Amino acid sequence: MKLNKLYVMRDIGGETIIVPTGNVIENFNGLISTNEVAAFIWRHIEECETPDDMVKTVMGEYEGDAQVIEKEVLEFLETLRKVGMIAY
Amino acid sequence: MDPISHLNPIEREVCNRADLRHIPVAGNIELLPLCNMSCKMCFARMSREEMECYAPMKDWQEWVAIAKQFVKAGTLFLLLTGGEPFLYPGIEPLYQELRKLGLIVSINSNGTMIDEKIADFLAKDPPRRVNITLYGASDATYAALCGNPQGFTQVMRGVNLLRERNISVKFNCSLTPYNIHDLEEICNTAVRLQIPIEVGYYMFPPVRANNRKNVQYRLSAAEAAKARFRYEQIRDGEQFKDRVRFSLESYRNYFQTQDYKKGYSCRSGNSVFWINFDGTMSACSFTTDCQVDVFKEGFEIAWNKIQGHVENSCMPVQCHQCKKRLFCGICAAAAIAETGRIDKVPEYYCELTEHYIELLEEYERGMNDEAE
Repeated sequence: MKLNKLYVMRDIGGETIIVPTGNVIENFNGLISTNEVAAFIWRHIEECETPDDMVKTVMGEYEGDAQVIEKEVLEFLETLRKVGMIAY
Repeated sequence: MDPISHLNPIEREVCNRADLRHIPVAGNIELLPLCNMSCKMCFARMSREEMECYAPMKDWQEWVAIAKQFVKAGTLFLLLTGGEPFLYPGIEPLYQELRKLGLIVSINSNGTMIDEKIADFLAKDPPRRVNITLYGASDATYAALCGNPQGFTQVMRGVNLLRERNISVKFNCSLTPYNIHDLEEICNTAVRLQIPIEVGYYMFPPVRANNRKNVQYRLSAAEAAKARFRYEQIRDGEQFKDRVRFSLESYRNYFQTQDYKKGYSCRSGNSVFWINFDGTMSACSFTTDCQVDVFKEGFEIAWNKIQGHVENSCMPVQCHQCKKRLFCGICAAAAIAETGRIDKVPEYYCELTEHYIELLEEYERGMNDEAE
């Protein structure tokens, strides 16, 4: 999977924020605040070839119901893909 | 100079957290002291000869190297200012690199140099905002105050070019004896163009040796109080009467309940920094009490020195106890710029505030007479 490099991840005092830059600002000129899991996913996007790889990566890091994790991770990735923040 | 105005809720939360933890979330860089205009009251401007005698400009690669350091320390918001930033030789590559670092960049400009080329360049990766200082509402005022007889026309052209490209614009206006007569028309211009405006009635005395004499071109304290009163009347319209009643009631019932605390009363040196064109870093452009060469010391050391100094600074105790503080804009920079000391009461501000309160009370008496 590939990150859209026009979205820059920033660590501001322990808080992870995603800053849109370049022409993506035409559609979204704000900040994206992430929770811990979303920041973890963003950091590992390019290490994972497929969404299923990401599900495994998240499961390796966080405890929880496997079905819930799978559903939520896949939904989150699909949302990021739809808005052009990642590609796969 | 506050690089973090008009925040959305997420940004406000980030900044509030930065305040608590002393993270330098926002910074200002004065790229150069050169300007294509020569405003009478300017605190920053140097001629090329003056600048070259004083210090050379840093090139854009040097600024990027510093930016990488402050980004690592947590800076998110950056204001590029001057002089006139669009005169800076490396403005385009610098801006592009700053954006790649994930900085949210705003630019202060006088607006007169913004042509198609600059507007197109900005439109590729729009800044958070271009803050344009509106010095008047006619070319005649620009001629008298800024030495630029086409100034107003040029600014309006620049504003239109930015707006056509959906680039956010805000007006700032500093009132002086040379543009006070344009106040209504300046405000009307902002309303007509639907551009937010911030009008400054107080002007810091210049702290740089070459500009100190320019203090003569600011409004007297009484004139500044009148300018404040008039601007608030224009801004608040029908609500002005209620505002006067509420303000005076709050003032009459006010008493200080908080203990005196050390430190500056604003974000400067707490979560905001300033860097002069020569690399001198301080809490704010007017606070000369702690300055560190950021290129020599590195950002982290410079920030720690400045933040530590600010934390232990003592603003005037009399101001903490003063009832007029409700209407007074005193800050560390005003104390230092007016008196040379942070712990000394800036009398100009006292006088300004006293006149302003008198104007409110006079207006209130008028309202009461009308009601009877």
